[in-house]
Amino acid sequence: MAIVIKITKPTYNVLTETNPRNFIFDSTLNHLKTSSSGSFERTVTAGNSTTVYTAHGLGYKPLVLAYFRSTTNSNWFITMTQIEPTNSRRGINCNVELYVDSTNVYFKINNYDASVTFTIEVQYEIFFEGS
Amino acid sequence: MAIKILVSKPTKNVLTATSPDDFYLHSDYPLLKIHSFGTFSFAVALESITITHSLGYRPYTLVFSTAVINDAGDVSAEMYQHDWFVGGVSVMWWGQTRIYINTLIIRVGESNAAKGGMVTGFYYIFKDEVI
Repeated sequence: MAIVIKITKPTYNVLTETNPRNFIFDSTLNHLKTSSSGSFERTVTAGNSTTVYTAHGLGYKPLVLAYFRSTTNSNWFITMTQIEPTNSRRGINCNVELYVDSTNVYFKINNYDASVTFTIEVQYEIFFEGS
Repeated sequence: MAIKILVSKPTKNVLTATSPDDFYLHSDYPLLKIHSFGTFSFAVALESITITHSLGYRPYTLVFSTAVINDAGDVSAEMYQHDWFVGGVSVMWWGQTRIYINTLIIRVGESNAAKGGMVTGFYYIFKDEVI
């Protein structure tokens, strides 16, 4: 008999529960595993963009999640590839694109504002899962 | 007394650590559980691919893919985080993932593309529901 580890959410019976959504942990299912994580800040002048990259060392294209904010406020946004300047993020005329290859994770910071310089903080998590 | 399972990160004391970020596993906090993952490819001419997950609800999903980068239908070397949509004066390009209760529809294209290339990417579908 295979040994498994399962933890259900409160009120659910771990011995009888079958709905995977009601488990906190289930050793019969895979989970995202963090390879590395980090953060950085970059200042981008009005109307300009800059690309920051970090080597992930995995040799394949990893799954990545990242968030960003202007250091002048506490509103965090999830990165989003290519958004039109006229549709940029609420409260900040700026966006961070996220893309990967087998060597690096890239963060392209676009400042769409014609007159404001932004300092952008990015926090990211790189997972072992990928392709 | 409630029984908990905790695995702390190196240098963190499992008995005294309090931040969720100090743990690899903490039974108070549910983990994303992977339902399925895979790679996909489709001709730019087809514009989309349908992935069946059969969960019966809209699951949390992450998708990265190459992007169509010019009118010839060529695709990028890097894989970009979904979604994106840019509408220019004469051309639009997009990468979108639509989540349905039993399928995902992954769309990548460019309105003027000669549709010669092949889009490639990867996806992760989780047991956890988008609510």
